[in-house]
Amino acid sequence: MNIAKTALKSGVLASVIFNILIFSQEAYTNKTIFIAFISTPILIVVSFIGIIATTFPIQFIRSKEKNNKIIFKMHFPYFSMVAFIMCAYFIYITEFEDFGYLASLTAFFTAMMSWIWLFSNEK
Amino acid sequence: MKKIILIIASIAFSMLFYKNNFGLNIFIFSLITTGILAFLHPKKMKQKAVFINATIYITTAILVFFNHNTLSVFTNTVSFFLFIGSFSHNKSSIYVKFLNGFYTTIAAAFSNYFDKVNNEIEQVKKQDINYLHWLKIIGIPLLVVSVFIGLYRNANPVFDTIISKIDFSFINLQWLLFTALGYYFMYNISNPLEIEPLTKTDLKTDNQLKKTTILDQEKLKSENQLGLILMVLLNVLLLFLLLTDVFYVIKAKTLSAVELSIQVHQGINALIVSIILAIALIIYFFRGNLNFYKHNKFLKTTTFIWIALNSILVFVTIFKNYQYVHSFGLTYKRIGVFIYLLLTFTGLIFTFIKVKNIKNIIYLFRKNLEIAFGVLFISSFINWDVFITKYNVNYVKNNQLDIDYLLWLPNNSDILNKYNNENKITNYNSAKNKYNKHLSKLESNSWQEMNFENF
Repeated sequence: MNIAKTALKSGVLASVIFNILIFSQEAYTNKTIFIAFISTPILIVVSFIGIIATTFPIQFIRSKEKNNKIIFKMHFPYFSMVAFIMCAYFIYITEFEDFGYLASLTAFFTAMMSWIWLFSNEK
Repeated sequence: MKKIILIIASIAFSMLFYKNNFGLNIFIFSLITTGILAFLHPKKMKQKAVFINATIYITTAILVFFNHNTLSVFTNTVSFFLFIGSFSHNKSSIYVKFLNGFYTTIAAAFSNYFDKVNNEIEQVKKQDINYLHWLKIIGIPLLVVSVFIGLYRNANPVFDTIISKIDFSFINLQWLLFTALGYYFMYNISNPLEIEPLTKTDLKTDNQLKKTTILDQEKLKSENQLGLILMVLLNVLLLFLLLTDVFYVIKAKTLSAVELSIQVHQGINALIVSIILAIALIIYFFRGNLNFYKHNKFLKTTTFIWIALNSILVFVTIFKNYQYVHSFGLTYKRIGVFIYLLLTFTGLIFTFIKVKNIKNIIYLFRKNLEIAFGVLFISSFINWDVFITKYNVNYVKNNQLDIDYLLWLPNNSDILNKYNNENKITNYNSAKNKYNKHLSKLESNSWQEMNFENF
């Protein structure tokens, strides 16, 4: 697993998704560049931490005879469901504000994609 | 072809849900999703389980249109996942169907993408997208239709007026992103997936408990003795509790409203927990080989007696809750207690069947979840806000009627206004204000948000 490379790619993906979503919001039109400037490094760091946090339990789960594809098939469904529930909960606690939607959508799609990168890297 | 259908469906998704609340759009969406799945997977649609789930899903969507409350939306969401899950595998248990449906809806595209990336053979075979072909089949008809629209507008002033009224100003980046999200969902549900290890395990597991290794007679004897002593003691204790409860129920008629309220609040929660613990204890003792132990007859008999006594306890609790409702009226919490007790009672019945017919814990899990979904489905037929209002206004004494609670309920404006006009309730201004707000909200509904009250 190339954690550093995946984390970097995820960070870039997160900032791209987040900034596209911000750009689409009328309320943030004047602040788009400022938000992009601020959010990009934050998202890269957050993604890095997120990748470490999600791969940490996998290190315990994986065993020698199981390859990446099997691990992905076995755990990705539960990971995706937990990630979705957490994102939905975040939208709920932010009282359905725009920021809650944008952050949750970014986090969910980045988390999904990062797992594909993580488990596709090694052959 | 599939892509074109999904693109049209995602545009419809956007038109139905973009900046709109729930209403008629849920019903139209249910027809679209059912139609797409029936078109893409015609063989699966003919299967009995899938057809039943589709019918339930569309029915719940109709209920959203009629009742327009959170419960019906929740039931519709659950039945949607079950419907999608039945496409994944129609013979799986209800909870597996739900998880398969949930997983498919949120992440099928990523799972498929992973398979695509990791399938080298497919990668070799992968062909480039023929952009020229797509340009032809979309661009040429679009161009020709535009030319003819221009011609007809000049030829016919009525046609020109209609065309000039078509407004595409709603299309912006946000709308396009929402449509992309719609495409993502549509793509997901059109490619039903299974959670592989879970579904396979579920299909392999039947409801019957099987003998595991060789029976350890000594261990079973000691467990049987422990269970027997425990069950006899618990039966005596429960019998004593029931006798005191009967005494309480007789005395309750003479209790004041406040005393009744305190006793019911304190009592019902404890009783519900004790019944759940009773089921858990039975499951523990009859989890394995004790079911096949030849001297377990007395243990089984005492267990059946305990189940019967617990069932009586359920009915006593129902009676207590009924007394409380009779004095103070209905609330969601009190209705919740009735439903909870009903589910507990069915849980006791299935526990009895489990012990009698030597079923496993999966059987209990499956049956109880099926019943729970059934109760959810049936209860979403009722507009509870209206039901509570009707009951409380007509059957609760005026000095006990909690009018603030009725005003707080969101979907009873019509009936409350009616009672207000008939002078059955006293808070005239608040009820009138609520009704007026409700009317203005109905008027402001877009066609997507319309519900039965709009008509």
